[in-house]
Amino acid sequence: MNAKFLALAAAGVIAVLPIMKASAGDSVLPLSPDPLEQCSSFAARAEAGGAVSNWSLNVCGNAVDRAKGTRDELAAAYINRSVIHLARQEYDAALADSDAAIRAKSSLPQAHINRGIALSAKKRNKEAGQAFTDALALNPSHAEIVYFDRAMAREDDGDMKGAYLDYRKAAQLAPTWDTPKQQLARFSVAHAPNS
Amino acid sequence: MKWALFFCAVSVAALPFQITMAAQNDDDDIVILAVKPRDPNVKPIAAAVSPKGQDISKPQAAQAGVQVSRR
Repeated sequence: MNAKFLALAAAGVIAVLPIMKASAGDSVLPLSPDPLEQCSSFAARAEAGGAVSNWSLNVCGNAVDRAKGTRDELAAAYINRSVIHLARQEYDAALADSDAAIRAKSSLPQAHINRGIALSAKKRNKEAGQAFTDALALNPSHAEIVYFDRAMAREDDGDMKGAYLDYRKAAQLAPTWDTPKQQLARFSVAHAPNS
Repeated sequence: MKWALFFCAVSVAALPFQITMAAQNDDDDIVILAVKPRDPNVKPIAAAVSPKGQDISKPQAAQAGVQVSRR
């Protein structure tokens, strides 16, 4: 009787172990057994300021390995892993993954956006501005975000007028988004008299 | 009368061009007098994609001001 009970308890503990391990390490359980889907979910959470764990990086590493068959999947896995690296402030790795994504498929604006952020973090602001311009040329679905990112790179580069115009464009494209408007409020602007 | 109609038509046709030029001139005329420092909590926004490469960025995430760390 005791032996049966012990065996049952041990089986229960073993069954629960993976869940305990994941919970302790990440506070987030994988949503799907597919590493490509999981990596995409983790990147979306990192983009939204959610927790970024070693586990999410491992999952995205698995996604890169598994995606080597198709260019779309490979580029997506690199893009999403670059988001994880950015959130962990691993800018060289984020830049390397963005470049790898562009090599796999150059027409995804998100690869250029994340590349621009990594370059900007490394204080390579002119190159960052060009990366954002490249992203805009690919008609991103949320151009306001790209203009906003480019505005920050231009501001850090000392191009205050370029930054102002980009913040203004972001505010025009997304009128309900407050952040670009708040940045515009920092600028004192005048109109030069017409010559 | 014919001449008056002709000039009217030309003026109307040229309006969009004039408006565009005026907008461009507005930007050209902008002078930045001063800029207050940026809040260090304001960060650039990264872009995630679906496994097939489709955009899954959420504008509402940007609205909430949640972005990747920068420095």
